[in-house]
Amino acid sequence: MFVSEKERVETIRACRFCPMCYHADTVVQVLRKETNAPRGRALALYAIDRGMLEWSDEAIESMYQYSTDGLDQEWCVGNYDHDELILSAREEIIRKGKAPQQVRAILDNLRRTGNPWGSAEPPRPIPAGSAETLAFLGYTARLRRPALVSALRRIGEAAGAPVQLLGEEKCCGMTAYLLGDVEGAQAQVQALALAIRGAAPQRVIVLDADCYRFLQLRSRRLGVEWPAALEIVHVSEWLAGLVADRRLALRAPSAIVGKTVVYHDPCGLARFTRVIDPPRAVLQAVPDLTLVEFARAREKARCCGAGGALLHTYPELAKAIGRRRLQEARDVGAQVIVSGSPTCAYMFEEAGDASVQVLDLVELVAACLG
Amino acid sequence: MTQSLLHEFIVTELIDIAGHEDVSVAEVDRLVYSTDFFWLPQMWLDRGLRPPAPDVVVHPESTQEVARILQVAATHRIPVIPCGGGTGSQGALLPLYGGIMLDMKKMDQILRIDEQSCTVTAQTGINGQHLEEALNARGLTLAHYPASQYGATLGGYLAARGSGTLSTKYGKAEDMVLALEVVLPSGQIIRTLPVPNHAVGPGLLQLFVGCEGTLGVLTEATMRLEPMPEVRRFQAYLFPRLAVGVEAGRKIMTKRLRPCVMRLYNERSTGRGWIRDVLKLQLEGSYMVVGVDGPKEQADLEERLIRDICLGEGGKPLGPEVGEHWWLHRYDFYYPPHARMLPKMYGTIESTTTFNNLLALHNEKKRVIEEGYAAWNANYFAHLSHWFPWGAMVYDQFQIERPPQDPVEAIQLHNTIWADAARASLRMGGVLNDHHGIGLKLGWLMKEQYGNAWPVMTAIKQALDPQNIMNPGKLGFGAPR
Repeated sequence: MFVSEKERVETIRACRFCPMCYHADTVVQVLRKETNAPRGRALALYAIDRGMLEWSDEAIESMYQYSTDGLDQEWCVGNYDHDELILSAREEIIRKGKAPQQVRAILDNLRRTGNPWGSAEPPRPIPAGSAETLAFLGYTARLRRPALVSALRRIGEAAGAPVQLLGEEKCCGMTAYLLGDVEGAQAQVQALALAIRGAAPQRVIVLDADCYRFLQLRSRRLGVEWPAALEIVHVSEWLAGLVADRRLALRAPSAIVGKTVVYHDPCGLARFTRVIDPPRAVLQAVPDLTLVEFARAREKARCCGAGGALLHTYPELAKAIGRRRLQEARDVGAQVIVSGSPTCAYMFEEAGDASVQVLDLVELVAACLG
Repeated sequence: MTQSLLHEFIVTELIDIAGHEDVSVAEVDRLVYSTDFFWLPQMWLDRGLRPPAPDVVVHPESTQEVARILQVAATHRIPVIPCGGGTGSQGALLPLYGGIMLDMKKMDQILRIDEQSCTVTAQTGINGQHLEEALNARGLTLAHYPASQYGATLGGYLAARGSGTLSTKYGKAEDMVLALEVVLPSGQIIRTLPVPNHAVGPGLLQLFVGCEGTLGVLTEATMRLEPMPEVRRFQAYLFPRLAVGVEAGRKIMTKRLRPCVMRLYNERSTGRGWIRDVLKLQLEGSYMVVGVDGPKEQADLEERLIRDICLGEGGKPLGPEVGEHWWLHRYDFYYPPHARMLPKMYGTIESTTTFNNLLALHNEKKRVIEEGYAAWNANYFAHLSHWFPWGAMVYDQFQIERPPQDPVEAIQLHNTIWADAARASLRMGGVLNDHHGIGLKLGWLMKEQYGNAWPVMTAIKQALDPQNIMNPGKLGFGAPR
């Protein structure tokens, strides 16, 4: 629904024979098959539109085996939105009831439990409050990196900027959107907007880059009307503000003093919302760290593997992508990789072999409070 | 190899060699591998028709797997089409007789970088841009910058005798290669000599460079490297006419100066196209961008000597900015919507010849296209790039805005234009092609190109591939036996 039929057809025409972003496309670097390259996907869609090809299992799989991380469009001089093309294909697959079994299971879990694993939510370690600032954690932080909650609390206390949480937090809808379930995404984001209105904060700080991208770029188009005065920022922007106001005194803990640290740009920040410098400003405020950059960084940063919900739909493929990014971290001499999003951090740990230490930016800042 | 019991057994054998993950008979894969960057299969698909598809797509991960796959193909007499990035414009990838599409892109490892000798050895499925980035990280470069770099493979560079924008100084792919590992159609793995220059008989290496998969599968290549230049600078000049610019270019080359790039546009291309649309320059005459690179002192001197020649011939200096802009945006015109695309009909009909024939070749091809196809409002664009010590390449293109809708009529028009253009090149002392290859498109004209030498070529093919299973229907070698 985020691409008009005219744009969809034009994008197919542009991509169906074009090899120019092959080198950038995340998934084809691992699978090395033309069907998983941008032009392969577009040519398949073209043939399906023309009735030359059926929605076979393999064609459906090629649409879901894609990272929707914005890299193809980032490299495209013509600026075609290849991601929305593929998301529109996923929508069609869902409409036709042809989604792969694991996709159906994830969507069902999201509806039932608010997370893709179908896990019971843990009890809140800190109660909901009424501070000006409300943090939206996202399911990865809630269920896979729960230490982020206490890290956030410590930062809030140290800066004199207390943070409240929602009493009950569920998925923002981003994952359903990525899987082609726009109705599910709409219901989820509207429920979240209602809950946030109820908490009446002045500011929402979003931990997960994917949630942030979704709330910023898609929630309004799915019918959400945010209060005019409400500020929605990524947690790295909030942290950068605290650092700039000298409200946080940061000192690297002994475990990472003198280590070489590389920052990984999540696609939801660097490409979709252009939040690039705030997390770097936070890292630069920590003395005793040696900061390096990836060969492909900032807008051109490669994916961690979790993009396009691959972490949930094709975990082995996601891990293979994550291992390549970790190798790129080692290639620039990094011993620690700091991610701007809990989902990337979780992905790296799933993919990793302990040769590179993985931290979320919020965890690092909390650790630097002494 | 149709849907049959035998087909299933052959697929079993291929899975036994490469594994389930690396063998596909899925309809979507077969469709995607039925086209490359050739206008003709793209037009065919655009009209709702399906070009010939491979029976099976295989993704080998080692030379040994390639060898065993070729043995299976030889045993069952099945065509094998080696596949790189699929960026070729001549139809070399089209599986005309079905068979095995052998996608080499999983063989993408850099095996050795010898910084002392300035060489790299890599598997041929490596992506051109990835190879270049890995070399750049070490202060080295392949110095091969084709427009296909983002999608093409090292194997494709070599199989089509490709060329990049800096070839005037750094040479074509065939000049850069030192040695190859090749799997012969029999499945035997061979290596060419360790160095390309020797006195140990005729050059086996160059037999496989440009073979477009018809004589075997290139699996490893050792390439010459260059240091990243200390400086790389560009200047632009405007000459009153193409002929004047050609004379300046000839003097630069025959005085043995070595510009890294020298692109001279004919009058029509100077007044329109990229120079008008991107640079926003309204120029009349013949525009040249010329670059120098290397150590600063060397570049300074070469730049000054080139300038002296250009001014001496009546060239007007336009300064460095337009040249720099060209370098930064040199690939932009290969992206949609700027690229030449359907529904237009178009083709790059480039050729190479010696200096004494250069202008005549350009003028004759211009006449053949503009006069011969006036009814179709055919446009002819040309620039001269890839200069050699003895001549240059005329990079010329035709374009028809509104070709026939009927696919058969469109093919016939397309092929007739190509034949006329190619024969004009031959008449004027040129060759069928400079750096895109022959493929399906020009295969049928190979006899005219080689004349009495053609039986030598077919005898070589017969000796190496008696069943003609390697990429049949390409390079003029005909059907499988």
